[in-house]
Amino acid sequence: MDYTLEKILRSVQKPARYIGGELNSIVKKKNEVDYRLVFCFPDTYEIGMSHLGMKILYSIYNSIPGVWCERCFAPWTDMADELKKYGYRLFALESKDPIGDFDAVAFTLQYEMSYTTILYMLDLAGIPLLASERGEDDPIVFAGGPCACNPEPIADFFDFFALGDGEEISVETVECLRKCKREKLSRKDTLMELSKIEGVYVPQHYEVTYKRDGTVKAIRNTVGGPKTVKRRILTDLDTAYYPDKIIVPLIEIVHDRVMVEVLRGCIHGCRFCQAGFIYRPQRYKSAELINDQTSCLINNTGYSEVSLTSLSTSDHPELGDLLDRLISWTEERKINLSLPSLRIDNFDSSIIDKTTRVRKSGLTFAAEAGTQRLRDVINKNVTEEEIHGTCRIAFEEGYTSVKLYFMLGHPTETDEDIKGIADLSQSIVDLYYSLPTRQKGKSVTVTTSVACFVPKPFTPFQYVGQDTVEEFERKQRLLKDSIKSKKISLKYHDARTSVAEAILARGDRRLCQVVLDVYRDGAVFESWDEGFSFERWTRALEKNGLSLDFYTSRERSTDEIFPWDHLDYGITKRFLKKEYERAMSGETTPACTEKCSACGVARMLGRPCFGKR
Amino acid sequence: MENVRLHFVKINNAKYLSHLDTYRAIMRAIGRTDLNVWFTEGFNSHMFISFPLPLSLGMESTCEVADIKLLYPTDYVAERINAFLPEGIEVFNTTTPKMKTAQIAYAKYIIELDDLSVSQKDLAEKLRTFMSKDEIMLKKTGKKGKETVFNAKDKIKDYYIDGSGKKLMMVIVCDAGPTSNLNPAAVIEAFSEDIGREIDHISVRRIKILTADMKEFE
Ligand code: SF4
Repeated sequence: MDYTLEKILRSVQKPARYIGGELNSIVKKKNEVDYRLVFCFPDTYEIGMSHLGMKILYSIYNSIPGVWCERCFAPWTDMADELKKYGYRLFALESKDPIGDFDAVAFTLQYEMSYTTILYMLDLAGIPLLASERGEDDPIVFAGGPCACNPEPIADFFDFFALGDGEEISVETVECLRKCKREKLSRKDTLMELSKIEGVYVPQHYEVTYKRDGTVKAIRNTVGGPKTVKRRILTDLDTAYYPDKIIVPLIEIVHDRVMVEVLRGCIHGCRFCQAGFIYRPQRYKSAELINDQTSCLINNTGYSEVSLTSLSTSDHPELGDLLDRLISWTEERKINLSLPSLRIDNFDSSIIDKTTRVRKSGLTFAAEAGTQRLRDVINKNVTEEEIHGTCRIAFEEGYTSVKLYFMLGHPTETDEDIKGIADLSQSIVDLYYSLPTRQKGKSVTVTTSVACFVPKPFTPFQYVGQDTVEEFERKQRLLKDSIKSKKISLKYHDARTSVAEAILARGDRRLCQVVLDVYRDGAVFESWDEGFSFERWTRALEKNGLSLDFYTSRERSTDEIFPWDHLDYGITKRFLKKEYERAMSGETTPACTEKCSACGVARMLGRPCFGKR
Repeated sequence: MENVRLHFVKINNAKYLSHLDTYRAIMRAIGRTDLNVWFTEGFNSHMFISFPLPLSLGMESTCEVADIKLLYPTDYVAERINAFLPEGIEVFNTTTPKMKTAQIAYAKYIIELDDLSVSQKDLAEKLRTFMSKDEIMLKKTGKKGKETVFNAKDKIKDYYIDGSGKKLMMVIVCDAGPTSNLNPAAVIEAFSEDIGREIDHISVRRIKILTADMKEFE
């Protein structure tokens, strides 16, 4: 390490964020690799290192001989100040080499509010922010992840996007990039080669025109390539790559444990949930494989906690068997099992019992709406009885606190629905006190956590106008006033962040300039309260002659051309329209395993999603 | 039950680990071995590890100690743990503790300084002048966030400056332990402020933990 970096590290908080050297981090010999890329997470080390997808991709890239993938996280502002002070460029953790000198720089797009942090990182790296301004010596900058399903608001900053499951496309793109580097192809030709890979979207190959009213008129491929880009789907999780080693951070991170993905996708189709659509169909790993992967990772990391992750872990068809297998060895070794994302409807006491043998942690349930009417609209198929039944089991098992998740601003929501959130929370408090089995002298806490609804692409609610900031805040006040018990702790999100998120979620390419202006105006770490300012967004929109309402609260017609219409996630527009209509008439749609609703994904897959393979 | 004292180094990049992070790294490494370590009893059962003299962030050490309890005597304890420790932390010896934490009174450090734009002779001279002052007043924030000022010279037992090597070196013995403790890095910071220069390279390494009668802590 050179003196300058030493000096920098001496003056920043938590220097261990920037030094690498963790167990299982990968350092290759520079003369044995011919392609170097860096995986960037546009948030702090502690957040980025908690992310499962990055661990999987880091491992995949490094499993390729001759390729070295390093990591880089957004340096905290104190570090950025020091880097600037000494003119030191942003570097990768493993080699400390500047990321601007790498062959490729990859970002993961996990949430919209990280976009300005991406620009912050590129800037600190000395990489031109606009793809059109990058020269032959600059790295290829690309991204993947859930927000890549509508990357238009950041399309100008990226050379390409990888759509869908990353396991295969990551290898194919890096092999293609390597070949292009070997053959000394120009940037332009390299992007042309890449675009031949299924799932690769090169935004500069497409031209977008707009109508007078500001909506999209047409999206055209200008280089003779495909009109639409299909996302990648992994057909079988059992044979998919999964790391046998993961990096064990030296400092405490947010999710500091082994994470094993048990299933991907979701069978339920809650109409507000983007993940429930863009990861379709639901695919699961066998209990045996999950058990093997867990024990392997525990042995290779020394963690004493494992979390079984997915969108809805209790939907795993072999969950009971899986837990039995795991408990047979984890209990003795004092390894704590946790199952986030349990659903309320298929929950039984044996599961609580199994996951809490070692240590009791909090229970959380997503009820999403306060009344049955509204839960039908959003297709969250749980009933009040089920919620009560589950909480009763939890209380009888000795829990004294539960956390309930709701959302404000669902389409068709009335004040009655909002009061319903307070009523439902109250009824759980009452339930606790009605139980003869409750522990004497102990009081109950019901945490009611309320987010603001953000309409997202590829969901049946992509047509919906979002509530305005004022309306959200009125609803929050109403809810607060409706809660009478001190046993209910109400937590709600800042409405302004959700509105800013909504601008980007369904935004178009014209927003690239807005994102750039917001960044230039000082925005960074906007997913952190202290980094966010709504005024920066309204200012930038105004400056660019764009309207906030156009992007957020405007109701969109079902025949509007959307900015993401050239990206094919398998879900047909016909299905989304139908689901939207069903929502408006309060009709629910059964889970995929009950009845296929022909969303279009099976067609993309080329076979039925469930049943015989 | 076997009381085992681990003697380890914490050097290179490991110096950027806080005490808490070091604790976690060692605990996790032990967790990965097949060693039968003792866990504390009770609701929040965890592996027993105790650190007689925690090291400050940014410092290196070749004389760190940590105490654990094994359920029965075991061979190759150091080798087993080392296999899983991060780079820069390495157990070089294991002993049965002879002394108690309370016996720690002093620690010895080697400080290396290098400044690219000041001649070493100059820097050595300045350091000599600084160190020979009667008072080196340092600020300390107490538990309630209240700032107090104390004279670091009261806590310095002995020091020695050597300007003959490639880098300027100072060996310093100062108070260590729960009753009175001095972080020598703070003295260097004060020096740097005094001369109004940001020194390019500062390395502080603890080399001995000592008792009141200057015996090595065992
Ligand atoms: S095609 Fe049918 S089963 Fe498959 S994801 Fe869509 S609705 Fe579900």
